[in-house]
Amino acid sequence: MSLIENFKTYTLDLFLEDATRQVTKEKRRVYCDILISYPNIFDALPRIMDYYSDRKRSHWSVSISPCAEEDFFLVCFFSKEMETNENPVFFFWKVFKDDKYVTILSFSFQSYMEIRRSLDSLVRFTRGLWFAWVGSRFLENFDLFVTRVLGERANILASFQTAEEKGEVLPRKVRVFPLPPRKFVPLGDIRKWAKDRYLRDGEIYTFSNMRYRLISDGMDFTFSMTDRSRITFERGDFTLFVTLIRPLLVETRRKLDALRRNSYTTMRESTVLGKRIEIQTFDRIESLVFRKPQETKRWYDKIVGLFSSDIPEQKLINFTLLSGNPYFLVHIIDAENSSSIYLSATSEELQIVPAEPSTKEGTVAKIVDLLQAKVDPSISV
Amino acid sequence: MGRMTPHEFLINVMGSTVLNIVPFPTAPVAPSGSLAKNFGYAIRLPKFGETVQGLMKKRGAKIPDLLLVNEKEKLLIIIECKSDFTFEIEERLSKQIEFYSSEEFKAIWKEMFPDLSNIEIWVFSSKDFGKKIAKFIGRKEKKKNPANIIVWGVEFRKAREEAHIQKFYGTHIDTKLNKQMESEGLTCSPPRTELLVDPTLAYGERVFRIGRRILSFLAISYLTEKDRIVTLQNFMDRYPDTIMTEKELKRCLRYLLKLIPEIGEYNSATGELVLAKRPSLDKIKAKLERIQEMTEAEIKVELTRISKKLGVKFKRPKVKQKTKISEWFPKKAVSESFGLPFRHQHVEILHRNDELGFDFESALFPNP
Repeated sequence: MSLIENFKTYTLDLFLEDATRQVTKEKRRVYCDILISYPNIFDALPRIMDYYSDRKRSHWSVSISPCAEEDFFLVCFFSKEMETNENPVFFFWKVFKDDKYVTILSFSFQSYMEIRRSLDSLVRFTRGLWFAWVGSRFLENFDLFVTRVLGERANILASFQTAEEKGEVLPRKVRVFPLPPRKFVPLGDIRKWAKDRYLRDGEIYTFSNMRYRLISDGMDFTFSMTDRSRITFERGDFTLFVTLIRPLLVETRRKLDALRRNSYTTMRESTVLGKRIEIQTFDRIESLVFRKPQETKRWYDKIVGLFSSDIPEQKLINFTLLSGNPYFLVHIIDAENSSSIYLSATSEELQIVPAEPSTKEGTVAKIVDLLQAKVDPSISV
Repeated sequence: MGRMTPHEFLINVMGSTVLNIVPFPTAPVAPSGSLAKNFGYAIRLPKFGETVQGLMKKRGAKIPDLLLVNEKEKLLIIIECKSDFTFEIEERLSKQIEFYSSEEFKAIWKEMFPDLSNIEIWVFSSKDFGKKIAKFIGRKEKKKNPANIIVWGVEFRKAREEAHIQKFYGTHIDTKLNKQMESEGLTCSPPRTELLVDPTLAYGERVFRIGRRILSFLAISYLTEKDRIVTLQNFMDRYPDTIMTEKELKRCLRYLLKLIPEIGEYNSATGELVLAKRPSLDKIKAKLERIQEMTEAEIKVELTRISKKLGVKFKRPKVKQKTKISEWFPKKAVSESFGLPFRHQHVEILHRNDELGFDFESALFPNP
């Protein structure tokens, strides 16, 4: 039986058992990504993968095969340059479905470059499949999350690399991953350092990835995580690490609900002069509201400055509709995610309202990231 | 820049009093939708067909700026926003009030909303113009007693970041609202969204606003060719506040795609739009903003200019005709013939009798 055929007999438990063995004996790293998709996109994935494979530009032919357990899949990327289908890049996907989203927990053991290139390429190609957003503030406050899950005795230390350079957020692709080994410090110290810098100089630090060491009940492990929930388990107790994953999935799912704002309309039919007409009404529009914290300075000016012109690197086109004292309204179009929102601000608060039936999660996440980096470091969902 | 005009701003302030905007994750922070929450008024967006709009136009009517309904009080509210008050506007307002108070219009709205029994016209303006309009309506009502007319004016309280609406004229049928307007008036937050793409917008603004909304369909990559197609229905579904006929929407799209070909191609037969694969976003934005400033006449001039330019660009070069009849037949024979080249002696087919016994020769050239 070939290696791939053997993998198809795996269940999640069997995979985790195998992974634990490999991590312990062979000191291998495990790459774990959280991907989100819409149910209809996930159902269409085999067809999407065919489209992807048929493209001349694609380096891989991709296939998705069910394993021995329901909602557990093996995804293989076969290099087109290789004559035989040997040594594919492969991922194990555990899938959790609900009525709104499909959450995919993706595991891989292979070399960092191969797995990142292949999966990134597929995700870029597939609209409606993306890496779950957790954001910089979540990384910074990860100890609070761990304490909630593992209890007060859990101790977490972190080393970090900022994604900013000379006040500019670096593009995602040039961010260094994994982080170079640095000294581990308590997260509280990092927060204090960032806060002091902000209060003293007004400099805002955002974190695109962080490296953690977690110690609990005599066990410890080291891993790193990005603000797009891409995790690299480096070494230590893999079983303890797995206990953290389910709460992490719940957290990413909660954030999705906050990022997706809907507007609800109802339609009824009537007649005018004997002709049938449709009459629509807006029943409810959900908005995302952020209030200005006391410490934040030049809140309104910074928002106006940020969104008054286009942001090409983020593929955002901004049309200012109202600007002046005391309100600002802008129509933001995100050409990356095919969606648009209205962002309004006063000197006290900021609102994000859908410009269509619902906002795309990626668009709002992108805007929250920008607001965190340029306006107010405490903004998060 | 793409800013709202004062008229659109008034529409959106009024809209924000009836839109139920629910904040997340904190408690309500701004008095949004107070007219909806406290008094039960809701916005209605009727999608009139071409026939209906044509009939309304014949009877001198146009679509009101906003339509509100209070089902509890069985009230229909017609809102007319006035950002200025000149002699022309005075005249137009008189006509509008006359039409909305007429039996003809009553027949229309009674059919549209059979459950409602009363109509009220609210004229909405800034505080300063509100006072002038109130005086004008007062004079007008002495002569004639049309539908119940109310005049509201809005003032912006900059320090409190909210709009304050006061009543300057009339008595509301809804006693609860009347009491509120007689005492404190209404407060609402500045607009949080932008309402309406409808025929009340200036033409350039209308095309601009449709163009802006079309941009939200653009993507940096498309899975299939089908993903690039935007139908009229797609547009209407995504933007329920588009109040215009399909014909008008098609026309706007046709103009838009001719003026900004970077967006994609428009199929006028199906009304479908095929988005460009790699659009130049900055070029599109610049052109859109230029359209916003243009009048309908200017748009048409620009379209003519573009089509002329296109005509020159794609004009086929003159190619020498391969087969000329004068060259095909021997020149001499053509010159010797008397205008009927098929009379030539080599054209045997015309000289024979066919199977039916018809003699072409004798039929065409009967002997004298």
